[in-house]
Amino acid sequence: MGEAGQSRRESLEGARDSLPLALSAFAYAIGFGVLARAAGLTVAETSLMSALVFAGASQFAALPLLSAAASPATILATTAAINLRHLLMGASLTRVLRGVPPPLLAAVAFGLSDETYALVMGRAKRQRLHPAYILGSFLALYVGWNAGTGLGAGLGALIGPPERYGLDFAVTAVFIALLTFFLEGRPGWGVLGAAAAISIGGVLLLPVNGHLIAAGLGGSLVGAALEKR
Amino acid sequence: MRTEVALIILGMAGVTYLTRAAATLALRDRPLPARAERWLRHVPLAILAALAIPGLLFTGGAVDLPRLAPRLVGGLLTFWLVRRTRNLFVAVAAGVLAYLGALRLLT
Repeated sequence: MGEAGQSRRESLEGARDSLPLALSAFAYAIGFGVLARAAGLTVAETSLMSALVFAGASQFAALPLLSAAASPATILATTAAINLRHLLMGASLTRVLRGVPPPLLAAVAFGLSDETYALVMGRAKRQRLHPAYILGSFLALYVGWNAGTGLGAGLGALIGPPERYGLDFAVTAVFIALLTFFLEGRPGWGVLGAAAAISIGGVLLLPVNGHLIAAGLGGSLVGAALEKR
Repeated sequence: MRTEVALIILGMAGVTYLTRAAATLALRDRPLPARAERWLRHVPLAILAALAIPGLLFTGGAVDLPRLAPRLVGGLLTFWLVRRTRNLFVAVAAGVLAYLGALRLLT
């Protein structure tokens, strides 16, 4: 099979494996669309944000700031702080994408969401990672996120909360399932324990998503320390 | 569309893309010291735990007591099924159904 055929197959697989995640993103995006309208954004502004930013938590966080007419600097600093975790994720993702040309890497990076990262790192443990797989996963999530945003912004009040369908829990279940694949040996349990404890403390004490950075750093350092012995 | 809002959105997009691309591109194909490689190998599990565990306990930064037990039921079932079957889809579907069932029973 040629490279084009393989790329197509890999991207279809990436999209298919991302379906439950895309569905969950779709549901969350409906919530985002509704809240964005309530915060005073127009349908076009709401849709533009999802299309260009494509990062749930920071989009939610921008809403109260926008409606309070916070300074652009405040909004951008908040966005950066919430998305800082991508640096850590990018550093480990690029390890399993050796040999991928920079322009393609730059495209792949746009789709680096929590969901796609979790999924593709799980696959990279089992087999060689093809960039088309990541792009397929990204596309599924991108379509879900933007379709949900449009729907929520357009007629969200009619749909009701996504919790009704258990979709608030689906994404947690997917993260649990994926982390199980990574759980191996004593270092693995150490990483899990440390990251769990730090993230719980972090949610209570740190600004939005600070717990992801703290636990990502703390947990992985514990793992490295345990492995050395 | 208001120009100022559009500009802020563009700025948010730029900042977000920077966080996504910076490490991905800067650390590309660069051999790292063994110590750093060993550390980065554990980052996925640590991030996944930090996404999953608070998702079980909290909603919007506060402990979600009414949904705590159903989430633990669904979460533990998912965990156990993945370890037994290695089938992600079945485990997640069963976990969500168990969560919804427990939620209905308990509330």
